[in-house]
Amino acid sequence: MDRVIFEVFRFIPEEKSEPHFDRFEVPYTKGMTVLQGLLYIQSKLDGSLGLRFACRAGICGSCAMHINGVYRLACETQVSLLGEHIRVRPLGHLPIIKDLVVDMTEFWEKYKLVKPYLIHSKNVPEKEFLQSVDDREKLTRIVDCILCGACYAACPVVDTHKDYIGPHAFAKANRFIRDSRDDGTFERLRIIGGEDGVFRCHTVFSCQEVCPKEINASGSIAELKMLTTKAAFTAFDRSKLKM
Amino acid sequence: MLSKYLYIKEISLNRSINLFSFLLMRLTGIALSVFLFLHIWTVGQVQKGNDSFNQAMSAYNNLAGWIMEYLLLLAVLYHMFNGLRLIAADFYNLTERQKGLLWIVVVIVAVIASASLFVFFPILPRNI
Repeated sequence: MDRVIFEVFRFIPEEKSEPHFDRFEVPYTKGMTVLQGLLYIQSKLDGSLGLRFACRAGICGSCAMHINGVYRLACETQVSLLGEHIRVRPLGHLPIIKDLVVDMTEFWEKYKLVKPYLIHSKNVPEKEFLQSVDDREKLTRIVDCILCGACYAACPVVDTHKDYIGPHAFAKANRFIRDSRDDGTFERLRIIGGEDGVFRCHTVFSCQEVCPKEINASGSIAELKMLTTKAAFTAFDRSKLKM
Repeated sequence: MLSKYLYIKEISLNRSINLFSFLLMRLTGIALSVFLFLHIWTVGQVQKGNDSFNQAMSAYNNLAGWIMEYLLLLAVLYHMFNGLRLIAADFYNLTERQKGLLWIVVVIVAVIASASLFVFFPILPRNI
């Protein structure tokens, strides 16, 4: 393989142009990622191509997009695994700003709903909160979420119910609920157990399938469903609530 | 509007077996709800007497009726076993094994559907 054909989604809503795909021929180099291909297009073939990226190492989560039928990170996706023909679209369920760049405002607004930070009701220690190894172990994997938006784009419920909070926020809420240093479980469960919360999930498992960090978002949602139900039955008595 | 609730765009963008299984779950659910009314109407004919009921039942005793009943069996089997799969995934922390569970559902449905062919289609030879 000495060249790769990129079909890239192009659309500028402000110009009211028709959405279409542009075709580019990119020379292949060993170890090339989709992001490198897109950057080659931007620097050598068409400088007007809009795309979002930052770390190029699968850490920032900026370059999530729809590549050959799957939502994934462009910087982590090897061209050699996709073949000579690559079709790239922006993330779904979010308004397009330009080409592959989407407006993630609603994604972040919903994220903020679940209070994604440690909440303390007890006395705050002078130096730092201590956490046992076992308690830290409960956060392994789920703490790896980079909020790339792949799960949100793949979730079919987000398409039919615009107010559905979304798997990214539920996974993050679960991460903080599991945290031994956090006291905000009930505050979060009240929001999560609401009309647009976890019980609107249809258990399609799409979020879990596409996650580039292999986070079990469906499992988080299942845990939250169970916890919300238990909380309702125990009238929000924390001592009876076990994860 | 209908295509939105049948997730046509979603499936075209994200062609995973999970979305197909979800769509099938939804379609079989709708089909079973519609069937319920047909079932109530058919059984309700008994109130008009034996002849009425027998006449209503005989309407299904032909090839088209057998095919319909067989499709009904497939819908019930898939909807029931996939529902159990979703409950198992949610309640027993099996979300990461959901794909394996889906194949188990497919195998169970296939085995029961094959064995039931002779029951639903009396024209098939029974001693193959």
